[in-house]
Amino acid sequence: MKHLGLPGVFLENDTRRQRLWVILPLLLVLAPHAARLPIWISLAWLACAGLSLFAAERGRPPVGGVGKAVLALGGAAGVLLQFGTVIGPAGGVALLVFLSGAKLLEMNSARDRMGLLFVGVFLLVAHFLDAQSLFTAAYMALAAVALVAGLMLATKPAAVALAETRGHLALAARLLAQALPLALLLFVLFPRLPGPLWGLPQQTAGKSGLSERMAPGDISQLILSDELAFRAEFADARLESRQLYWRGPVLWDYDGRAWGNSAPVSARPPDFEARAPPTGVAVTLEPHQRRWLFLPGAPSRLPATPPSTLASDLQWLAREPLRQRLRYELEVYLDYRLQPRLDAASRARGLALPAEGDQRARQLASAWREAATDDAAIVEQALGWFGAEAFHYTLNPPQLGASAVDDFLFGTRRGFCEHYASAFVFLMRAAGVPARVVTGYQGGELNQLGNYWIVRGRDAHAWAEVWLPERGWMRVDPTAAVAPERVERGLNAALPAAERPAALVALQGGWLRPLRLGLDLLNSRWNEWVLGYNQERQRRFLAGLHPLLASLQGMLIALIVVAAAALLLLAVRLYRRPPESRDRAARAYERFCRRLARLDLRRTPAEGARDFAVRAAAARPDLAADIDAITRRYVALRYGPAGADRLGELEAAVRAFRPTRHGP
Amino acid sequence: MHPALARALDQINGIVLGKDTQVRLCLACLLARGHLLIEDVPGVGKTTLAHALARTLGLDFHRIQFTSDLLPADILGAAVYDRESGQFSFHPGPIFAQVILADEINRASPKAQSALLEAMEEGQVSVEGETRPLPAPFFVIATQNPGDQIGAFPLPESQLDRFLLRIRLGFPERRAERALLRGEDRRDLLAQLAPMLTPAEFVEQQRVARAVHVSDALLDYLQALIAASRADSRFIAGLSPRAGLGLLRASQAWAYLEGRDFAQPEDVQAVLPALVAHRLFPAVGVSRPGEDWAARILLEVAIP
Repeated sequence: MKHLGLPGVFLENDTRRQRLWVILPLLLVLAPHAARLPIWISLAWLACAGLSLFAAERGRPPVGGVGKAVLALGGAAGVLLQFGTVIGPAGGVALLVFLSGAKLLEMNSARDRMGLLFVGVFLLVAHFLDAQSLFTAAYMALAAVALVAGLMLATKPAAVALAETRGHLALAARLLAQALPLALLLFVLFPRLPGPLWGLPQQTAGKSGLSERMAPGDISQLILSDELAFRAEFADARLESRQLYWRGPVLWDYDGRAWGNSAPVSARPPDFEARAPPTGVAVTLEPHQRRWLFLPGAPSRLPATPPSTLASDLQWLAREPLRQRLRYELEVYLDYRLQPRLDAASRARGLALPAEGDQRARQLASAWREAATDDAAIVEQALGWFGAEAFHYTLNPPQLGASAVDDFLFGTRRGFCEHYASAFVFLMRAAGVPARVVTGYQGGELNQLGNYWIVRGRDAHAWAEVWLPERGWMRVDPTAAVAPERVERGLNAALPAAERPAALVALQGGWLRPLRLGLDLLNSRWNEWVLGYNQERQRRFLAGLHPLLASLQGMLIALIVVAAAALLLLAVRLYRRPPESRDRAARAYERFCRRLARLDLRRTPAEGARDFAVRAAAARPDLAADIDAITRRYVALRYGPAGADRLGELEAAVRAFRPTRHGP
Repeated sequence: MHPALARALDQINGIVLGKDTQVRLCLACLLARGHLLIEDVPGVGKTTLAHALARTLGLDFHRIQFTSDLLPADILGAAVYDRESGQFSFHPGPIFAQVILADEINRASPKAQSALLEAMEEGQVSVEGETRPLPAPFFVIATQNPGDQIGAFPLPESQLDRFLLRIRLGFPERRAERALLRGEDRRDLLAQLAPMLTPAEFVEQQRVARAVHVSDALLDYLQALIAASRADSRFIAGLSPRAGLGLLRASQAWAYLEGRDFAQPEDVQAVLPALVAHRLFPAVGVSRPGEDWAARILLEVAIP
């Protein structure tokens, strides 16, 4: 570095380091964006960053005015072509990312660096439009530390920038940590708007889940997914896995191949009578782009949000497809009698079969009909038959021919829950027992840490319901007759060892399990308390603290009062009381200074003790001797080679020093 | 303090009138074994002060007038062919003295400057492949005109850092100037000056000054000042570790001249402006010189 007396010349060498401290925080911020951006934007950004670093050594701008204009217009045109717009959460962010890269090429002053880093702050927040997980938040906190450190370094001269990098990172982390209480306060007390915290439409689509049609093989695809379906927490009952049949789509009509609903189900409220008191359940449902809401039984009353309807067959449907995570809490009857009196239309629909096909199954069913005294006996007969014959539970069943039911029952005999449910319902209808297929989830994993159930894609299930006189629709699970482990202990227990998905096995057992469950608990609480902290939840939480807090005015007043009080306290602490020294001599001297301060003789922090003594003695000649003696002792103790044994003298002298406001 | 040092101060103050603080800083600088740079416009007594210092301390003294055509050999000396003995013999240059007065050092070319500055750092010179030690003590008292004067080669930062203190004399105040006008010719007075110490005594005084006690509390303050210089964005860089060490030594010497056997914050405050003046370079767009900074920072950095 050479000082040539020309402005700017000696700074040129080191701007590379300074540029690095803009580029690195930005890189941290942009890395997660890269997954959502077209690749050419990421590449262009990296190229600009590299060029900027390279050019820093040259000391002249790498791109001229025309080049910059071409770059900016080209980028905007590219974004417009790709997204159709240059505003909004997709196009706007893309354009901003691109332009931040272009700006790297004309980064010359502290002002440019700060501007870029502030754009980085905006882009950091823009992540929340796409992801709100706990992991995202933690990553963003890290990136924020880097950004703040970058902002601090942006104004520093180059030589300082490197020497104190670590110090600045630590300082940035400390600053952000200090801001945390205020942020928390705002989070808790700032009045929420009605609606979700992140009011933007989700852009994820095509997520796997249950559907309104069930053909053989559908569910076994879903079952391979480890994706979370929902979490559920029961208020009291110590329920077991086999009791939990989460009802989803109810399928009435069979076309010889697949089950579905050719006509809408009657929207009349369901007719059921409870046989045991209800239990409270809270479900946090992940967005699945469909309308089903899952319940392990019959609800006592529907919650106000979301707007929904309950069909007569206990299908619970939201009015809108679920695009955001939803939490609902309600009371549910696990033991109930559904539709004890069946109307003629439902009965007909529950008995309908294709005109022909699957003759052997029909013959088997009519044989049962002739032998049986009533419908219940037929059900018993069928379940016994499934248990006795050589059926296998497998995720990889062979292909079935045109007569799917016959092929399965008398041919392959290898299948998965949908095969069993489908064949069973077919047999029941053929035997004259009204029946239908119900799909949903069965069981789940109990997380003992938080005492809630985790239900995933692999818990998807299909079972049957038959209607019996007086008893109404009864749940019958033919899969349980073949592979009871599936219902008792979940999928893995039921599958033959060779078929268990490797990833599932690794996650299920061993030392990873507590870790995984702990992480899931964290995520669940995050969803519940941070992302799910909406207007209703805020009202409820604050009203629990104090009734006055439930109103909007109450919240705002509390927010202002608490924030003001906290800041005031902090200000008083910072200004009123300088930190006390650890050195005893210094403490005694500070006491001495405080006593003089009462006489309006204030020592400035940078004033040497000797200088102050001279000044104070001149102002109060009557105290000169005391001031001189104390100062002499203090200076000797603090700066001189004298031992600490004279400390007592200083402390005694300070204690005895009681100056009055007006001298004699 | 040794009484001889007090007498030395008095004597120099009798020649350079009304500049007590600067004279004391000069002496502190030499006591701390540092080289001294005196910068000011021509005619305010730079050379007179340097003369008076050397004479009073009883040191062997050479003056080198730096000009733009001065060569390293003019400073260091050269081997000259001796016709009688038929051999080359070394004729030592003016640098072989205990005090060198390098007058108007920034008028010489960088080549000549660096010949001197190398000697300052090493305490020896290498001429014709032979290393020759310089006498001890060895001081350079350099004077220079302000950098913006025509025909000046400003010293590079790395070389400025080798001068412990840089002082400015400034115009005398009215009363001192009257005494100057009324008094005898300074040159005659200089000639009459008697040495107050022997070189050996002065070396001993340097040793005693270095033994002045420095407490942890004082080092805390010193480091707070250095840190403040490094955190200030108006300068290209803060004070170097060498500058920090110099600050400590100069403070000790100042304390010793004050008659104390320990250093206190006031000593640091007394020497700081002269120490940073030639070491802190304002960043682009900042016109505030180092001395102003020192004055401000001394008000801002609390004494721990």
